[in-house]
Formats: sequence, C-alpha cells, structure tokens
Amino acid sequence: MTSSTATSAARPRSSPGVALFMKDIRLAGGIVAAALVVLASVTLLERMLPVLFPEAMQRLRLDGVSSAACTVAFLLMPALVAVALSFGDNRRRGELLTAMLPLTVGARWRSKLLVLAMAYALFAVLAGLSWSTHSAIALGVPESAPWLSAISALGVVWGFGAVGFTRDAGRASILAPLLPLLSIGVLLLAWMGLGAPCRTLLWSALGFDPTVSTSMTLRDDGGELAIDRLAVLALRPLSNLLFVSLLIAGFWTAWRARGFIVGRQSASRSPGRGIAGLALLVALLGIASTAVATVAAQFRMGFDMLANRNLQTGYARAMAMPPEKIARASVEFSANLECVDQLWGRPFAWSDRFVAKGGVLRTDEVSWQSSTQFAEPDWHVRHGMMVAFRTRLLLPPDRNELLAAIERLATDDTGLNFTQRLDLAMLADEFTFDVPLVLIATRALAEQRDACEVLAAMEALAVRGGVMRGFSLATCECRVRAYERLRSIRGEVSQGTAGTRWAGRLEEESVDRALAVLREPMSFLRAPLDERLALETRSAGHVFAERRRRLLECLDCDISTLIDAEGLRKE
Amino acid sequence: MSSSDAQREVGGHRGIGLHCRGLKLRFGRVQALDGLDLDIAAGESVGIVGRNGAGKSTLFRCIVGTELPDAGSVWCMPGLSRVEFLSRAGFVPDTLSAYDWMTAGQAIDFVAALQPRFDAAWSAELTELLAIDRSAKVRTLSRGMQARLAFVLGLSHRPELVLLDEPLLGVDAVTHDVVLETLARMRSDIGATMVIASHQLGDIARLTDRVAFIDRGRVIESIATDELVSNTVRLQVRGLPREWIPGTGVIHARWQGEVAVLTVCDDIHAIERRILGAYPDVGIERVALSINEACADRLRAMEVQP
Repeated sequence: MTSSTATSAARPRSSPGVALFMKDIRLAGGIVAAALVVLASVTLLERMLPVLFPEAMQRLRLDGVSSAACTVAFLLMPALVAVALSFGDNRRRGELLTAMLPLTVGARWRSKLLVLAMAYALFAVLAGLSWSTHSAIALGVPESAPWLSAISALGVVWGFGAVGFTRDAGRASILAPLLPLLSIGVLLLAWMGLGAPCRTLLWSALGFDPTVSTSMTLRDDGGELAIDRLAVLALRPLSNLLFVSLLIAGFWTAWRARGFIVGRQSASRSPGRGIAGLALLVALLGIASTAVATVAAQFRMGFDMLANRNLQTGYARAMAMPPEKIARASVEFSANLECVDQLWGRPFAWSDRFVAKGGVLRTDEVSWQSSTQFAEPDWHVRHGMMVAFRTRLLLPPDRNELLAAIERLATDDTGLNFTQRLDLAMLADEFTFDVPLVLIATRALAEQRDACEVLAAMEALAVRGGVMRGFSLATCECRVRAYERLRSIRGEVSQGTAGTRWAGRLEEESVDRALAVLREPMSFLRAPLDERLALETRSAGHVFAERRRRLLECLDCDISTLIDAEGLRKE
Repeated sequence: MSSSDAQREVGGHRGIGLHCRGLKLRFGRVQALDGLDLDIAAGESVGIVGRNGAGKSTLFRCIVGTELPDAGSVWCMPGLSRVEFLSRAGFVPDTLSAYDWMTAGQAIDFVAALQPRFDAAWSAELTELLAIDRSAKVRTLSRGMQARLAFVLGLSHRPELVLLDEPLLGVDAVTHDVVLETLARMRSDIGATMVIASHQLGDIARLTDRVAFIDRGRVIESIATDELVSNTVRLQVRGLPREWIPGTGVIHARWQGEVAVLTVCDDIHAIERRILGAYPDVGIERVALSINEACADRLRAMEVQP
C-alpha cells in the first residue's frame, strides 16, 4: 500500500450541488480558458504591434480586431460550452460516474445551466467591454446587440441539440470546432473584401436594394441624420423566420437528447437522428453565416454612424461660425481633403455631386475613401465643415459675407501663406467669384518671388472650378489658358468695363508684367524647381512629385506659336 | 410481487430483488435486447453468462438507467424511485467510470458528495484493501488499477443490489481474491443481492446461486450453479453411428474421429440407457466437466438453436 493511500472517513464531504457544479466547471473550463487566452493574445497583439511596427500596422489597420474577436467569442463560445457540457457526462467517454449516482435529472441540469449562464455572461461582458472601448463599434451595438445575443442563445440550444446528431465523442470533437471554423472562414472572406460582393449579389437576387446597407444622408439643415436600415435589418422577416425555425429545431433535438446530456442514453436512435443531423447542418451554416453577416453589418453600421456623427458635428460647428472664421478654417480642412485626395490619386469630384444633388451626400459616392480613414475621425468632422462651408457659399444671406471674407483673407496680409491664400481664392473661384484668385495669381506672376508660386499661380489662372482639374494639363497648355484669361482681364481693366470689380485692386502694370512672364519660356524656373522636386519626391510623396515633373516637361516651350499677336489662341 | 417478497433481511440488512420484463433495445440494426425476462430474488446472487455481444452490458445499463429500453420494464420494489434505487444499488462497470482529469481520491470524494448512503469507513476499508493510490490521476491508472477504483466507487455505499459487469478484468491474483472475499462478505453481512456478468466462470461458480445464460438479447436458460456442474456430464461414445439423432437431454454433440462427444444434462442414466438400447455395442465413458466446460457447451448449444 502506498503512503498516499488514506482513509476518506475524515475528509469533509462537499454538498452535492457544489460537487456537481465544480465538475461542470471543470468540463467547460478547458475551452473557456483556451478562448480567454486567445482573446488576451489578440488584444495584446492589437496593442503591441502598432507600437513595434507603426508603419506596417498603419497600413494593416488592426484597430477593432480584438472587438471582433470578442464578438465572435460571444457568438460561439456559449454554444461550444453547451457542447462540452452535453458530451462531458456521456458514456462514450466512459464517464458513467454521474449517471450512476442518485441525482435527479433536475439537479444535473441546474448545474449545467448555471455553468452555461456563467460562460454566457462572461463572454457577454467581454464583448460589451470591447465594444465600449471601441467607439465606432459601440455606436452599432444598440441596434445589433439583441440580435447578437439571440444568435448566441441559439448556439447554446444547438450546442445541446448537437447530441441528437452524434453521440460519438470522436465525431463530436470534429463537429464542435466546425461552427467556429466555418464562422472564422467566412469572417476572413468578409474581412478580405470578398464577402461584400457576395452579399450584394445575394441581396440583389433576393430583390433587396444592396445599397440600403451603406447609404446615409445628411440633411441640408444639418439636423438629425437618417441612417437607412441595414440590409440585415431589411432581411429581418426572413432572418426572424430562419431564427425561429432553427430555435424550434434546436429545442426539439435538445429535448430528444435531454437524457443523454445528463448521462442517460435516451437520445433518439433512429430516423430522428438523420433529421436532426440535417437540421444541425442547416443550423450550423445558418448560425455561422448570420453571425458573420451580423458582425460585419455591426462593424459597418458602427463605422457609418461614427462617420455620420462626426460629419454632423463638423457641419453644425461650421454652420455656426462667423464668415471670417469659417473662411479661415476652410483653408485647413480643404488642405486636409486635398491630402486625402493626393494620397489616393483619385479625382476629387464628390463635391460637385454634392452640389448637384442639393446637399445630399451618399457614402457610396465617397466609398473610395478607404475604411482606413475611419481611424481618423477628425477627417469626417472636417468633411462636415467643408459641406457646411460650401452650403453657405451657395445660399444667401451668408454667401456675400463669406465671399467678402474670403477676398479679404486672400488678398490682405492676414497671416496666411501664399498656398493658403491661393487655396481660399480657388474655393471662391469655384463659385464664380474670381477676383481674389486673379489678384493673388497676377501678383505672384509679376513678382516672381518663388518658382513654385509662379507655377501655382499659372495653374490657378489656367483652370476654373477646383485645383485638381489642372492636374493633367501640360505646362504650355496651362500657360496658354492662363495667358488668355489674364489677357481678357487686362482688357477689362484697361477699358474700365468692369469698373467697380477691378478698380483699386488690380494695376495695369502688374497685369502686363504677368502677361510677359507667361508669354516667354520659363527656363529660369527649371533650376529652383528641380531642386524643389528632389525635396518633394522624398517628403511629399509620389503624386506631388509627378505633378511637378509634368509641369517641368514643357517649361521651355514657345507659346507664341499658339497665340496670335493680340494674345488670342490660334485656330 | 409484494414488498416482503422483494426484500429479504439478512443480518440486519435488506437486499432488494430485481425484475426485468420484456426488455427490448435496438442500436441501429443490432437488436441488443430482444424481450429479455429475468427475475432475481432479494438476497440472491445470479451470474449472467453469454458470449460477446449477447446483451449482458446492455442489460446492466438498462438496469441502472443509462439506457432506456425501447420496450419492457425494470423494477425492484413498488414505489421505489430511480433516485432511491440508485442510492441502494451499486454498479461496477466493465470500464472505469470516472472523469479522467480527476485523481482517484477526487473521484472517491465526488461519489462521497453525491451518494447519500456513502459509507466513509467502508470506503476507506475498500481503498486500503485494494491499495488505491488516492493521488494517482485516473488517466494514468493501469487496467487493473482502474478495475480496483471502479470497485471502490461502485460499492462504497454498501449497496443492497450489487451489479458487477466484468469486475475482475485485468486485476492481479491477489486483488482477485480480495474482491471475491469482499463480495462474499457483502453477501453474508448485508444480504446484498448480486448480479455478476463475467467470462471467468470459476468466479461465477464461487459467488452465485444461479446462472442465467443470455444469447441474442434473451435469457435462454437459468439454472442453479450447483446443478450446472453436477447435472452436466460429458459422454464419450464409441461406435455410435453418425445418423444417430440426439434427443432430449443432450445439449451438445460433436464428433472427434469415431467418438461422439455428447454433453448431457438432466437424467444422465436415462440418456445412457436410451443409447445402449438402440446401439448395444457402443462403449460409453462418462467424463466430469468443470464449470467452464459446462458453460461453454451450453453456450455452444445456444448458438445452434434458432
């Protein structure tokens, strides 16, 4: 006999409830602990990787991954715990111990349900915490939390119902991970962007408008935003029907297997198992796809709502600003928007559509803005301010005050640099008010203080309605257009036809000097621009550099071949 | 059956009887139990003998309720609930029933917590007799150690109905004797009713009053253990023509060359007289059978029956 052989006579006996509870805790503890380790690792990685690899992580944008993991855990883990509890006492693992003890079925179920409730609560709390720390997702939670909870509960029912499908531990061990694997697989597909087109196709096939999931509106008065229902919510009747069917099937299967779950082999043995198996397969697919769609929709909705809230904030703030202040601020947010545009190298044309539609901005029109921008909520605030600024430029009574403020800021010495003043002037020019732009550009050409200023002034004169439209023009074409415009203005100035417009603002001498600069080849700009180009290639990015390089291409062209003696373009 | 019939008081303790009627249970295409009837009186010890797959383990699982039969019933005493039954019955399955993450001590403590009739002193005595290492993990136990632990877990509450399904598989000779002595003590001390399924027929002979032969989910024959040995004899008959047809009392017949080997029961003299009357020239030699041989021949006989 070994020394550790001891009598149990003196050992205190724990109560039956506690013993059962501890046993069930142990049955479920393994997978719960594993899930917690995974969640902790994901959270740690999410926090650590941006610190260790900031640039790479900025591109990858792992923000929200831990929230997604917690959400998936909340959806799946209660179901897996139910599976673990279902199979924990069954005889195929040789664990008749509990079944042979004089316990009521109720006592056995109570213990399992208590453990299950604790697991459910644990993962619900973790998901809730993760949502609360991620503002974008938190906004979407009130809408989808009941649905998420219901799916999680459905998983629990089917976790018990799985017994009706297979009573073999080997098959169960394959079946149990099937649900999370399937879900994670679909989630990854959705994450990589393959899910969205598939969903769109599916929704279109079902007769639903695929855009309803993404559209959002900003009312002209900047008031409350209307969020269209998500496609998932549009499919709510179908989803509810599927959900109730799965719930009933799950309860039926779990009821058939109720004895087995507590150690009695009373699950159905014959045709019912086939039906249960089929139902389970449908349930697994249904739960997994619904879970993934819901998670994706929740994230999308959260991001959309956050973007909209920020838009609304910016819009309201800008609408309340005095003209001078919003004009000055517009330099900042327009520059910011231009940077975004330069980053993506896409035409910055949404503003025109916004104008055309009378102030309704749809996210599908700006969908090219990558979701990476959502990490910068300030962008949407500025976007909202820009919308408000443009609204006020369009609508009286603000319009005139705002244009006057812009002219004052652009032409007077108000502390803004040349680029900022030119940006402001071009914004006004877009709204057919070209005085500030002509003033600034003419002075820059006449004074020739900086090579870039000369080029920018020439480009600004050459185009109307937005800085980016000159992007594809060759320098000589730019020069011709600028020359034509300035010559036309010269005529107005000299003839006095626009008396009040230019009087006291633009001198004939300055216009003549600017015209002379434009008429002659601009070889004198090459050296400083080459130097600037080398710097910008390193610091400002490829798009800016490409733009400057294109301007340099025909810097030396003689445009006299393109214009006649009176300065008009030859046919 | 009245309550007094179902119970028998021995030495201040009561054993309980057990009755199975028309038990049927099918696993897919396999009819594990096919209308099984079995009556065991209080305090009686019955051996269940049958070939592999005959339905012995399934019968035990139906008795303890881990399988619900498709048809038929199992009862012990009128008004005895399942929970009360399990507190008075003890089951030692053929494989250890304990969670593999537990230690042997934890498994015993688990049973102690959930078995209201748990007898701590008796459990400690069993633990000591069988040299159970309480600190050993269940998953690390050898086959023999698992059998010992199963014995302790199943019998620590001094059950009045002891159900043993191959309890001695893998145990060493010393433990084997200890188990048999313990079971004998339980019978004598508390008058426990015992149902033992085993392929070790010598143990059956030592422990049981009666042997029930099971084949294809039915009890084919039930016979007192003493009679099984004393009434079963092997006759080796020389010169018997092959066209001879065995009659009543011959449970099995086979040929070894020119010698007919007959296993007979009931009235052996009458069978000998019948053979000699028909074929006076044959030579008959009577050979005594061990219980193993007696049972094996009966099982063989059951196989050829439709």
